[in-house]
Amino acid sequence: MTALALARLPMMRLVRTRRAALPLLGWTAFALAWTLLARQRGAASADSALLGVYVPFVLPLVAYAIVSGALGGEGIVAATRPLSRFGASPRLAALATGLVATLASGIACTVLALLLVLAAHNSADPPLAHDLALTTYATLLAGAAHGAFFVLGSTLGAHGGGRSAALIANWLIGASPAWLSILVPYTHSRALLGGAPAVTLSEPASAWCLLGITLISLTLTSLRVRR
Amino acid sequence: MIDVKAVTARRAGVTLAPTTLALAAGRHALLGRPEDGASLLLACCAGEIKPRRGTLTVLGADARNPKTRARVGWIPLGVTLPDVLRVDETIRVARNLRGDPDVADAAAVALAPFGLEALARRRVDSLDPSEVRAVALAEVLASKSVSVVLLEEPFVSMAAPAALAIPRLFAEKKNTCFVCSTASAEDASLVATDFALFDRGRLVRIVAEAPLRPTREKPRIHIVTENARTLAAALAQHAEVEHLELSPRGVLASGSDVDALASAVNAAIIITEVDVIRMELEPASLESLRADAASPPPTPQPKEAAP
Repeated sequence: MTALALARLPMMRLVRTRRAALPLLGWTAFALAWTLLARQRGAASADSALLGVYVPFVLPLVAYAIVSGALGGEGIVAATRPLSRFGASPRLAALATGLVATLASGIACTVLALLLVLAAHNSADPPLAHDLALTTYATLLAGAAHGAFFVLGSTLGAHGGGRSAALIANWLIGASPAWLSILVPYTHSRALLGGAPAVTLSEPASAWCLLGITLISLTLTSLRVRR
Repeated sequence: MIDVKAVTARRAGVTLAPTTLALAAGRHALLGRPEDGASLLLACCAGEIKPRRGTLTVLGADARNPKTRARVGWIPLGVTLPDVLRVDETIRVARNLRGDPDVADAAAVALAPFGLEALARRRVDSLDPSEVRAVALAEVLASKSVSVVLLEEPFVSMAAPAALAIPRLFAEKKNTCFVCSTASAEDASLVATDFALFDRGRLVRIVAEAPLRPTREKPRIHIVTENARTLAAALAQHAEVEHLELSPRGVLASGSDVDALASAVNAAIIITEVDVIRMELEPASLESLRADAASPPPTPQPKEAAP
């Protein structure tokens, strides 16, 4: 019951405010339009749709918008303060809020990716069911990892300004070929969806890395909030 | 319930000198402006600010412990409630987190004493700050778990029906420790029965009586009436009334001797036959209380009996 009480606030922030919904709708429309235009030119495939705009831009920005929405545009401490004043452990409240943001991010990114695959799928692609299953597994992990990474960023700065720093670091470090890039979710998301592998890691290793980033980010988020 | 031992703290230019204080069940006021440290000590009691030195326990435990927080109602001036939840949802979440039993009409029960039932279905982010404070206070007073209520400036930014109900509800609720921080001696005298006076970060005095007794400041009587000018004209005839002032709701009369002043006011009311809505002795101002604390006025000597 307490877990539900703690999760209720971030869930309602996602459902009842436009902070997450408007960017989500905007990026969905943009990604679908881009994919359909590419399809008209005969240049669309599921891989190109996901690697063209989805992985580099849409996925991180949708995850960012969802985390912002779940936290009410604040840092994690301010976002959970209304709950801790009722006696909730600040760490548990931060963990519950982070989990809601992470799950919502994973689900939203997956649904969006499935729409893109459906829109871009052509006869040269693998069977649709296989494509959808692989996309679900990869984007669920990628969306969740991005969400958790941005939640961790939200522990920094007065109003969660570290979230924006995490978004930029994800792009800059993830685009570099250095070993450091395995620390950010962008590298592994790209590798799982058919792009360049992360350094020399295999696809399953990238999947484990995404799971690791998710768990470590949520744990660090909880630890960074004082008891 | 609250035990403060040699506590020092600092926040945004305000420093609290070592303070020792014990507050049991009852109604207490920490009297002083924000820069005097009264609200800083209140925030320390709420676990919002960690004391730099000393020990501060609330209900026998660290004030920052979540289990302690569940039993403490903390209502600062800028209190935050879950923004997107409705008021009834907020009260249910609060009851759940505090460990109170879940009841269907929890919001109605909590809001009724303040006459704020109409707010139950409103979202918290649609309320104005005074309504948010009133809802926060209603939630705290309805909780069975809360044993300590910490309220910053009880009558500032507080919805009018709640402000009217506060003195009565505080007096009714026994076995609870109410602590208010305020810069107004008048507000303090409405909600508290003892007063800790703070001056520039120091606890200078604890008075176990309403701060209404004579100080160096001349006593003032406030008469609330609709015929203020008629009454003022009659009061001006009395030598005991040394100063007269029209207030927005009536007349303020001051003089050196409180008994003579009261007699003059009574006589003027009888002569003019004005309807008096309320008559009260104005509390001493914060400045005069501080001046007294710095150097107490000489106690009047009993008059010698005539041979």
